[in-house]
Amino acid sequence: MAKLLSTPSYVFGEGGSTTLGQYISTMANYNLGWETTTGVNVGLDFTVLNSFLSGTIEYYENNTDGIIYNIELPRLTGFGSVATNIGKVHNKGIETTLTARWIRSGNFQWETTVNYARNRDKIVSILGPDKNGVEKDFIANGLFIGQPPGVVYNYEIIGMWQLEDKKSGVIPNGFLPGTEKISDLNGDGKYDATNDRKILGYTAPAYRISVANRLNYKNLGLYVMVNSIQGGKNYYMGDDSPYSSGAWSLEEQLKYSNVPKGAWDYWMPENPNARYRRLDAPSALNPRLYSQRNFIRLQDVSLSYAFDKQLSSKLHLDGLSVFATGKNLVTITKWRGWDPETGQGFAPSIPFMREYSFGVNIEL
Amino acid sequence: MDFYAPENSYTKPSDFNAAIARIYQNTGSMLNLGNDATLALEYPSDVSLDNHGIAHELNSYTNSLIPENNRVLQFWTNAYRIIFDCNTVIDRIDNPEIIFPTDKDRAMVKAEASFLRGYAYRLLGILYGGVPLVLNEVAVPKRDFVRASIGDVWKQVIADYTFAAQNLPDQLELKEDGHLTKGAAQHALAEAYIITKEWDKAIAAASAVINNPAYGLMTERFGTWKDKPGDVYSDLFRRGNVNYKGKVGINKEAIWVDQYEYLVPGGGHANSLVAFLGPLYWGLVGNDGKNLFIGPTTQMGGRGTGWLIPTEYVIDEIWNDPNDMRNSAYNIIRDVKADNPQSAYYGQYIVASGSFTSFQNLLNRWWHPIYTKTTPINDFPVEVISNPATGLTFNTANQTFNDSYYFRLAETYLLRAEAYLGDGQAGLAAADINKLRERAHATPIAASQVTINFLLDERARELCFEEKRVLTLMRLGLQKERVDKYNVMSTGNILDRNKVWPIPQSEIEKNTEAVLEQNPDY
Repeated sequence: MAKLLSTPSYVFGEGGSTTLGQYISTMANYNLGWETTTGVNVGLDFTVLNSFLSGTIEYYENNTDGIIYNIELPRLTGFGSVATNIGKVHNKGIETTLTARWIRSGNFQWETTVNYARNRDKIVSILGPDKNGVEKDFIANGLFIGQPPGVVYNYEIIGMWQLEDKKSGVIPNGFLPGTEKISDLNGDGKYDATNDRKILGYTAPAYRISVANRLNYKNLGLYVMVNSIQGGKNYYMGDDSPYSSGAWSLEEQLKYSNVPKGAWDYWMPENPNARYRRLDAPSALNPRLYSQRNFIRLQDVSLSYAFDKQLSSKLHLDGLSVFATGKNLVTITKWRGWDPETGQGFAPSIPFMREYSFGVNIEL
Repeated sequence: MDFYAPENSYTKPSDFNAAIARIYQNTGSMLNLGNDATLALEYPSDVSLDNHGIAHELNSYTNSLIPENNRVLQFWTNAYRIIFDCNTVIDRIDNPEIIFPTDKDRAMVKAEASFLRGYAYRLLGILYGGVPLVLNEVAVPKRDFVRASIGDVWKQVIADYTFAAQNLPDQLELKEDGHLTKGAAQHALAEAYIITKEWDKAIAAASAVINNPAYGLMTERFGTWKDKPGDVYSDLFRRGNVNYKGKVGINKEAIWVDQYEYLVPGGGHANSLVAFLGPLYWGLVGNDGKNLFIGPTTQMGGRGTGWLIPTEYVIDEIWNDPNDMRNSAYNIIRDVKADNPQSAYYGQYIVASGSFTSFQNLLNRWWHPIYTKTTPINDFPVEVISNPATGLTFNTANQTFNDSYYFRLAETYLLRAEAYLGDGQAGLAAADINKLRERAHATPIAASQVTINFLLDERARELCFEEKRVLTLMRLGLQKERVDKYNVMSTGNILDRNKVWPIPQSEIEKNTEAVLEQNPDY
């Protein structure tokens, strides 16, 4: 159903009063329908080797038809997009949890749990075949047949134009010293969006894995959990450039805002090998620099001690224990922005929180 | 149905008036905001440049005016949105279930929509060339647009304007200023026929306006500032004077005016040339190390930032007649007195005394002449003045707080002169130009002096920062030549391919079921 909006629009004449305007704000799509999913899901729960190893393995495969998606329209229609049931998406994945109980003696227990998940989406069809019977990619929405939805489709950066290049007159139109040099993919000697962009990678993770160890020795307990999201070859991409949020065009803006220190590695004549382009002006095509957000994080550490029943009962308590926990203690990553997991780049913000807590549990 | 939807909201005349109001609003926003977005229709040109360096915005067409550029998409998007809204009105208004008081009333509204559609296509035709002609409300997703020829675009513009001219009211019948009139459509037709080189029709259309007794060049002081220092040319731009029915009396020169109303919902945002064209004088430091000014003040024209800079051409070169009123001290302020008591130059003229160095005033950003037609100098609303004793303003003293001309009779004369010149009647062209020169007390010119360059000079004298100079130069195919000659920033930075802008890249991508051809060499 199309929608109509009304708003104060115009005042005709000197000293006139408000005329309300009205306009159609969204295009109707009369063919909109339900999305349907059919799928298979196979799971296995097991405990083997005298309970030494237990776990679950789950495999799924789904076909979704007619996902509702705001798909781009030419502005020639008057609108930017329209809600559409787009073709077909296939996804499959595997989720696994394994627990090994290494030691189970009276005073000492040690067990390790590993979680692993991997998911792959693939677009099978978008709007269906066109008038010529060919199904095309829908570049405007970044949708490509046979690819997942979150595609990084952009120019391939192969270096930086330098002042010497300017002197020797080799910088093409549209580029400046200190902006990125890009591949001329079709080799026609020109740089343009139609011919010189390609799929550089994907924004979704390749896989997630976490490893948790639980140790108990007499009254002492220790829990350590390490979490990681990995991108493999070209998954889990993001843009951590200082200008990714669009905010920074001046050095001063970096100075008076709280940004991670990596933001400063931008091109200047004194810093020709910078990672990021000059701040003040992008090249006309404005390519973006993508990097992977892979990280390994020491996410949870918890140490606890439960006092003996004798002591707690002397204090007329049902139980007494003390604990210390730390969250997000260490993150190993090459991502230069704030938090690789949220993908936040150099926007003015605060660092990812590291938390410590200490406490006493008293049971009455 | 219990909510607003197109099915139940285009059923009575007031719905159509509401739809039309929205189109007027969007047309003004597309063209007249006077900020970095809309000023792409003003520079790079022979009259102005963007101060921020060659890499900034559209100073260099060579580097920046490419299919992926945001401004390229912005004007396209705004124009086609207006066209959609116009088509919605045009397609639905003839439904006999909608009861208008008379057929004439129905045709009048339809004529407004037709004109505004034609006016949007006029912008598209000049900027992009032969664009797709969308002439009906697009009600279902569509991705197979193809380009029309440029000839067909102008035919459509002329057809829309012609329908408008036949069905719009005359100026004297008009109830509220801001709505279109027959005269406005005829003025627009004159320009369109010049573009198609149909000189007779252009002359006839312009003559219909000029001979209409409702209109006339203003030759005597008038309006809100009548009894204060000024001249009739400065009166034309004073707050309250721009509309035909001004706050005080009639302005017979106003043909079509974009409306602004201070502190009224829907009153809009007035032109921001105050901020964008006004010099950054209040940041000037004198040679003694002290600020020359206490800050932005109402008597200096508000808070300019020197974003857009007038060229030497429009500052000096065109002003060769000492009596030309358009260059009077009321209209172009070329020197002002320092007002900071701490400054050694206090009370002295800042230019004449050499109070600051030219290095500091790179590209005339901190100081260039003030064009008073672009600022409510000494007449800002009290709410934006922070200190009435000194005239200091808040940062909000950054817009004209005034209506702005789309069409003014002076331009109709210049259009007819252009048509006469094209038609080989230089004598009549000179006569039209001389009408403006007489009003301005400038020496009349002879027929032998009339050339297209002279016409562009006269347009700069009469219409600078009022016409969209880039559109004027582009429709004449002279942007590259004039920029190379007169624009120190952008000279050499317009290519042959830039005689039209590129088609936006994203439009080509989204139009998946047909090929939207790119313009040559992009």
